[in-house]
Amino acid sequence: MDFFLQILVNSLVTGTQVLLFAVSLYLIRSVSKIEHVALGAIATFVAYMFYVVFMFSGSFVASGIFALGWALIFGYISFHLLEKFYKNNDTLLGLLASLSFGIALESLIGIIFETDAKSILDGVLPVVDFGLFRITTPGLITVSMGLVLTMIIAFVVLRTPYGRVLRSITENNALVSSLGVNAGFVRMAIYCMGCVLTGFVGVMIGLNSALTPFMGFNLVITGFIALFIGGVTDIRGVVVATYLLSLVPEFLINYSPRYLDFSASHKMFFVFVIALVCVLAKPNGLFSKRIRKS
Amino acid sequence: MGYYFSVLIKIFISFIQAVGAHLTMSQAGIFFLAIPVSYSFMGYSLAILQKKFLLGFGLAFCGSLALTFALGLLLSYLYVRVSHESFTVLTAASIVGFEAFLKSFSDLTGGVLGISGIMRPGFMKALPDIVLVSGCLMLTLVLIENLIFKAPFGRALRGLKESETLLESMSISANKIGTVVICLASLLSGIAGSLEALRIQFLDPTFGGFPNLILIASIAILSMKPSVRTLVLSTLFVVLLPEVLRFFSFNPSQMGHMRMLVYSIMLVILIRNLSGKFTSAQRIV
Repeated sequence: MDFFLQILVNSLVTGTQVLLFAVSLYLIRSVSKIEHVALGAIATFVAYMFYVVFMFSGSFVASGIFALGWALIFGYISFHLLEKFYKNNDTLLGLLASLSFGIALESLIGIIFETDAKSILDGVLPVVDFGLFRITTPGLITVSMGLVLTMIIAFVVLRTPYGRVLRSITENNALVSSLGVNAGFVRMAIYCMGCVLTGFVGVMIGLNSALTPFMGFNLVITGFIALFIGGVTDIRGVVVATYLLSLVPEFLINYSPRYLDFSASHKMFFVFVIALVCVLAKPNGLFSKRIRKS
Repeated sequence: MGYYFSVLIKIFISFIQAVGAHLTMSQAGIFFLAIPVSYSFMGYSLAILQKKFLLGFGLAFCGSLALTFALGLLLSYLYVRVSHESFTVLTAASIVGFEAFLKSFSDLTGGVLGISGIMRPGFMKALPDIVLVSGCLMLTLVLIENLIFKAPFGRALRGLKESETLLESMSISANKIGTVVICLASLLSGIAGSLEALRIQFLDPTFGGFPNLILIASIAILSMKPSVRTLVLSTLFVVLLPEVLRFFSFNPSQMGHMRMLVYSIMLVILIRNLSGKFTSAQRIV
């Protein structure tokens, strides 16, 4: 039972990291129809900026403010990079541009910081003991903050006038602008918010384990897959798909017969297989309904 | 001399692979991002058939070609079944999934250590022989692609990009065109992968992957026109551009990162400049 709970908690931490990526992708896609996969590299860069200041100052507050500044800068850059694709309705080219931007950032990190792993916190990580299971403090912060933020975002998107404005920007940008909403500003704010959310995840990964130039890549790809499995317009589906992609591979690895010899390196393979099955069974999202087209 | 031969082979192999990307991405408008998967898949299947199943080169090559064709059929089935966006996502995810497969099933693939000592056939023992074979293949593909552009199939490809409905109204099955072009791209990418595997005689899970996608996508996007000349020129430009970096004294461990940085920045600039030129622009206030 203890082992089961420990696996569940560890998967929840990873799942919440992926969830924040998926939610950021969902928000950006909602306002611009573009999948901003460079968020993985942005999260990594922001985490490295946190690391640099933390090494010099040793202050969480100063490092956090510096990292936040970088996240906002990346939000601004992302908006100006991808806005043209939104306006020209070239969403797939936008995806490719975002992918290239991400790879450029990762290469830049590789050049500046080299590829060896860097730990923000030295020594043994602080752990919270719940009796049946244990969780590291950064892991606990990730899970609690991640769930609270996702619930707030889901509530705002689905139940408030701000959420309706957000969704209507994708549907009819001109109409929303005619109602006095500054759609460009809303898009830029969402880009910045997405970068801040993923930057937070990047810093938490850095605190929980170690920083590597490519650490955000698998997470953003999993988030990206979760977005499509869950349904690109259904935040409920995205949340379920994220945990499905995080929990199922983890339990397969830990509870499969020994002779199958599954290890952590199988994880992305299982993620791909689950994605394949889900997309073939439910092409429009986990909770999609059949729509009759005339 | 070996360096120049290697660069030549790289140009030829990149061209062979880029023909598939040119036909799918640039001409048909299908964002088939699994090109590195086919590249790596055929390289690995050739090596596995040779080393684990002890087949001769001819049989191993035919077997790996058949397997790559089957992979192409599987990917085209996905194209037919799911939406275009989901197809793009799945093909992008397949790169990560396949890399994980290579790392995990080490009994078959050699895991992270890969497979070394891939045997070259008698007619490709030295680098100049590989230059000759890949060069001949490239010239053949130049002719074939030229013919494709002038044939009804080439027009159907461009039609698929413009309007699927219009294509269907002319009794041309968009799904069939998509299936054929995806299988073709998969096969060409696979052949390029097997040639590269024979050149380096070593494979590991990093063979192919996103760096390969960036290289090929740069060439395909740069040569949006239905012209073989543009494709040849863009291949030369994209492959030779990072070679300039060799004349600067960078730390060798950073060379790979510098190369990727140059590619990706170039790709971002290119894509931004191309945006709006191939779709009907929509004015947004």
